[in-house]
Amino acid sequence: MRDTAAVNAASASAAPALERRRRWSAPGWRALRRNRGALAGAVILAAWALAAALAPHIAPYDPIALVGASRQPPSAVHLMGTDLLGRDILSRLIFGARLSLAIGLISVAIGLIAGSFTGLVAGYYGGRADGVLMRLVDAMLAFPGLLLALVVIAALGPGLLNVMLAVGVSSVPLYARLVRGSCLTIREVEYVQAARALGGSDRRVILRHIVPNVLGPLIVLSTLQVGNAILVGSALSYLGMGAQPPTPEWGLMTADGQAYLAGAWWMSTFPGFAIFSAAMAVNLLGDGLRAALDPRSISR
Amino acid sequence: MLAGAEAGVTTPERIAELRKSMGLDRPLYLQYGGFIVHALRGDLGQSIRFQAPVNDLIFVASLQTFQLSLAGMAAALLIGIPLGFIAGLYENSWADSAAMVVSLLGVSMPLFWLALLLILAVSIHLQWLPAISGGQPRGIILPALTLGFVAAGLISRLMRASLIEALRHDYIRTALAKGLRWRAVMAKHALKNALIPVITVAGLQFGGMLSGAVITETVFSRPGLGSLIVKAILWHDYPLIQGAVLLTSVSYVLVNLLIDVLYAWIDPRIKYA
Repeated sequence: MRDTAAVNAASASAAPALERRRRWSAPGWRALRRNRGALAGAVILAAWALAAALAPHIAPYDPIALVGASRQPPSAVHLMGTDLLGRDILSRLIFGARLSLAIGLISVAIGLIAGSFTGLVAGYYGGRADGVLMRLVDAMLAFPGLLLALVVIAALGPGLLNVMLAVGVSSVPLYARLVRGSCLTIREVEYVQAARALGGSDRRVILRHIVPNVLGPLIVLSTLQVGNAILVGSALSYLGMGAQPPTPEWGLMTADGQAYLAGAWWMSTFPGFAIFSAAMAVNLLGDGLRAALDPRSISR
Repeated sequence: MLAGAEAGVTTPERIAELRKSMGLDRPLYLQYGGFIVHALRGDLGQSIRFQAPVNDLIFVASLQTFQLSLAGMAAALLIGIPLGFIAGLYENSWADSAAMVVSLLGVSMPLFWLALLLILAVSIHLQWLPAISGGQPRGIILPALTLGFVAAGLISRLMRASLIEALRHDYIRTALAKGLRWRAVMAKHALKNALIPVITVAGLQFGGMLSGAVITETVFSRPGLGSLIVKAILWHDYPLIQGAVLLTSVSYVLVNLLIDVLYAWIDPRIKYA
């Protein structure tokens, strides 16, 4: 359900892009920097990225070692308390940032590459390829949201790599439809027809005309999809189908703390907040990008 | 299912017998073909774990999920429509900001975390509602709030935009100009017209709740299609997974189709060629 909103939003900015190429033009860039929400999102995201990159240096403890008593409340020694086995929750969160960001980026890369390619072939070449590919995409769209990822996990088995694959595969329809739609419109535009009439190769038309036109909406969709991938990935781990213990994955940590919610609220609350903050940061940034890349919203 | 459960020991003969009785000795394409043929006849096979027909298991579970989805939709509409309506009437007011925050939280909060926060606040601290919704009617409130939250955010945002759009129309000015009370115009003319796109999106969200139910039912330990799918995957109960997933996606597609049809009925301006 979140996905359809993302596609509508992304394709809304596709149409005006046709009229004039305005990808990273100055007004768009300025609008993005002036957008306080997007700025906040970028800062939070940068903080998580920094935590992920420097994890071994800034984490106070080993994320997997038993470094304290079981279920210690937050204190000066353990800022976010310890979990059931006496592991430091803050250290686990810092290392967990690596996994969540990796899930977000890798699964989006899978969906982006596979989906755009599918959409390009279907939209540009049309004909039978279009028919076959789009029926496949329609079949994938028959599974609501999380369910498609669950089906992939059911077939491949649990594990972090499979989670990335599952989340990536389940976003293929979104990219395929977006790129196909843009291709269909752009293919008929006069300057593309002219380029073809002048003997421009498919390769040239695709790279010079189609890719620049679809880039804006693709960037917006991909950004928003990173947030969605972080949420779905952690949900799969929460359900026990992603990361396995003792991996410091946020969704798994939230699930671990659930049984001790009454006595040790910190065990679930902090990891859940980490997922929320990362997903919200990406969404804020994505909304800002959408506003910046959509010429109609600049004047506002 | 354990091969040695009955006899206490697992012999190769017993394993072979089980494989034969479950049809696992046949080649894959025959197994799959058999599944399709039976499924078309309405028989989804036997659950490995429960040793019971998949049909019965998913039918019982789907009733629970349907109930939860209805409650979730009710929660989404009860939060989303008033919030979006006030936000649209008074742009840049507190209600406008609240609607923005709810919709941002809706797309950014992991459902399981939202559920745990609700349990922590409402069940553990305030002790108003049970954390595990076993049987009692009150037990559905927290799961419904969790499930409806994402949709509430979307609905409030759309309601706001749609109302602002409706207020610009001439019929609103005409109604006010001929002396109708402001309240009556807002309630009858503006709200009615603004609701049309909201209903469509709400319908699509209803289909999406089937996937939200996977998380919600698991957190609140409610029996249902969503939690059944999760358990079936963890148990490697493939006939059950196939059946439950099939039923979910068929319902999802049917709900979306129904919304399309309903939409033309609600708004006569829309005609399908």
